[in-house]
Amino acid sequence: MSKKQLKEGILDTAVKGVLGLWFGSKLIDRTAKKIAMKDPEVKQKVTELRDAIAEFDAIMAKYEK
Amino acid sequence: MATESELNILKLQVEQREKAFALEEKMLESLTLQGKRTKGIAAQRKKMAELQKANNKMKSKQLELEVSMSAEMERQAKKMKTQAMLLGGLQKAISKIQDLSKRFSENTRATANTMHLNVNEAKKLNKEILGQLKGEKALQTNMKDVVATQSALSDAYGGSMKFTAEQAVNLDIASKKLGISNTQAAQFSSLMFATGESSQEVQIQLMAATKTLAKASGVKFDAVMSDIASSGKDVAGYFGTSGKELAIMAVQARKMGFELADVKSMSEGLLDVENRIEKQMKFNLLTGKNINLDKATALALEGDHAGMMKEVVKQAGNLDGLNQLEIKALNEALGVDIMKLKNAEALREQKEAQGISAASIAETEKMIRDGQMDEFLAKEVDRQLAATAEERRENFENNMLDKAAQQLGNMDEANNLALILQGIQMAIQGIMMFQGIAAMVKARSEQQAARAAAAQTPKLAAEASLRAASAVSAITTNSAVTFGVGAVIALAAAGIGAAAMYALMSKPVPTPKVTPSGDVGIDPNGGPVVMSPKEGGIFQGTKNDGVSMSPSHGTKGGGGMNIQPLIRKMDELISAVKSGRVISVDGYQLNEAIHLEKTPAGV
Repeated sequence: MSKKQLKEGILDTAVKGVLGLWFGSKLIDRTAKKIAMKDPEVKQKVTELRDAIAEFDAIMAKYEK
Repeated sequence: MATESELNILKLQVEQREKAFALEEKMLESLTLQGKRTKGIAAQRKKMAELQKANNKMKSKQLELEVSMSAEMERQAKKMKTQAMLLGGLQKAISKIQDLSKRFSENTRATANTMHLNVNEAKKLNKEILGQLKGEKALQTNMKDVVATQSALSDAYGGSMKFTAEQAVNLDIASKKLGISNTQAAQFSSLMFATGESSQEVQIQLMAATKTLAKASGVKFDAVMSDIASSGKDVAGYFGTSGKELAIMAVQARKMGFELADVKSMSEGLLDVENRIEKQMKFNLLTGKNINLDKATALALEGDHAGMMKEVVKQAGNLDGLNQLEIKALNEALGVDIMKLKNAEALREQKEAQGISAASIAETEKMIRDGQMDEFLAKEVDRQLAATAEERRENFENNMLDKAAQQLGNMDEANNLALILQGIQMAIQGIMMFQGIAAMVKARSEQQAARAAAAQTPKLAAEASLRAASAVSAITTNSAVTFGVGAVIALAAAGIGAAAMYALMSKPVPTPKVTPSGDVGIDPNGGPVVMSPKEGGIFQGTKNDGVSMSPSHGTKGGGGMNIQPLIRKMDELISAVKSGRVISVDGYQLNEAIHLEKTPAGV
């Protein structure tokens, strides 16, 4: 393999590597988030937060009267 | 399943509750400022206590959700990265295997085309060649070069002989070590075979010996081999000489500036006695010289071609000053070009100056004739390198890859491996493509969800502002009865500001799907909060910033009504009322004592 080929190879790998890491990480994070939202524990926490908000609203409503 | 948009909305909802809570806190502060007699303080305190508890719980649950979500995301991302690495590695491995499969196909096709074979024959030949390329040989040459040598051998022998892979490999390496082309080596081999030297080992020995002799004689080995390749067969056929003699003759001719073909034409000219004598006499008449080629003719007859050439050069003598007719006559008499004779004389002098040893040449020629050529082989072939360090590395790499491709090719023949690999490759690419599409669809749906959340935010903000306005209203009313006109004026100004803000927030926002409630919220603990669908985000100023909106505002930023001075004045006013100092409003002097006296009964 000549130096020119090596140079081109390194450039090619670097470009693909940077682009691959960037878009790959984005894709993985996005998909991981999507999967995480399906997790039963996360779903439970969401329900609990909704309930807490509703509780807050109920207090507000009670004193509005 | 919770979606990302739902999570965003939940986040906004929590933020709005926090703002509402902060407003309630402010309201309590304001009520407290009016004194303990205010009836609503107790109720507000109770409300605040309950809200504080609910707010703490809400924040705690939000934190728990974030922690849980973050941990799960991290776990999933780690899992997916491992999968991606494995998939990437698998794809890379398959890609490499495909490269090998392609290499095998290309090698087979190249050999088939070069050797004019069919695919199966080419595969078989490649397999044989690769079988020979092991150990040191794998570093010295490669399959492509060996196939070229095989082709050169086939051409040189006119397709009349079949050569083994071992013969082709050996000849290829020998030609590289001797510094000649594989075509020259193949033609030399063919010539030697025609003159009775059928053993390849002897042929290579003779090539090495010829090189030694050429070096000893001060001539270029490559030129000697070219002469043998171009006219060796003619000369050998004419003189009926052996391969060894032919090689010696070629070196001797070159040493005197002739070519091998010149020896033949010179000999032919001399041995055509009648014509030669006539041309000799013609030259003598023209020049007045007295050349005599009888001795040269006798030497030609004896087969002493070196002696013949020397005698011819000697008889020609000094060639300077000859005219065109004289040159033509001499050329005809000697059977060679006169210019070469001039070269011959100059070369002889040069060789003498270089100290070329006649004894050394004679010794080498004797050894060749006696077949003692092992020493030459060792010196010119065995101890030489066929390739540079880089070429050796490349040869090794190519041979290893070709061998791997060969093995893969055998597997492919049995199992259609290439097709299976292609299928796996396509499946992996398909999975990756669907992942990409899914990510795009997901991004799109998130964008829509974010828009929907943005449409919700102004409503929540408006609700919070409404509460703020009602709180201000309550404070104003209470202040009116408690602190009198000064406080009422100050607080009314704040109330007007809040009311104006609410009114402006109700103005339709030119964004599709956004209800006409405006996009402004005020955080009593911080600066104003502004949500901009156009800019796509929520912005918060500092405590020193104010917000107002009207058709003439908001074009370049930095404009708008600054209510901070008014608020400062309000603070001063309240402080003055509390301290009981005499204050003046619109030219009237007021003090806390007067207004306290006016406080209605029951408050």
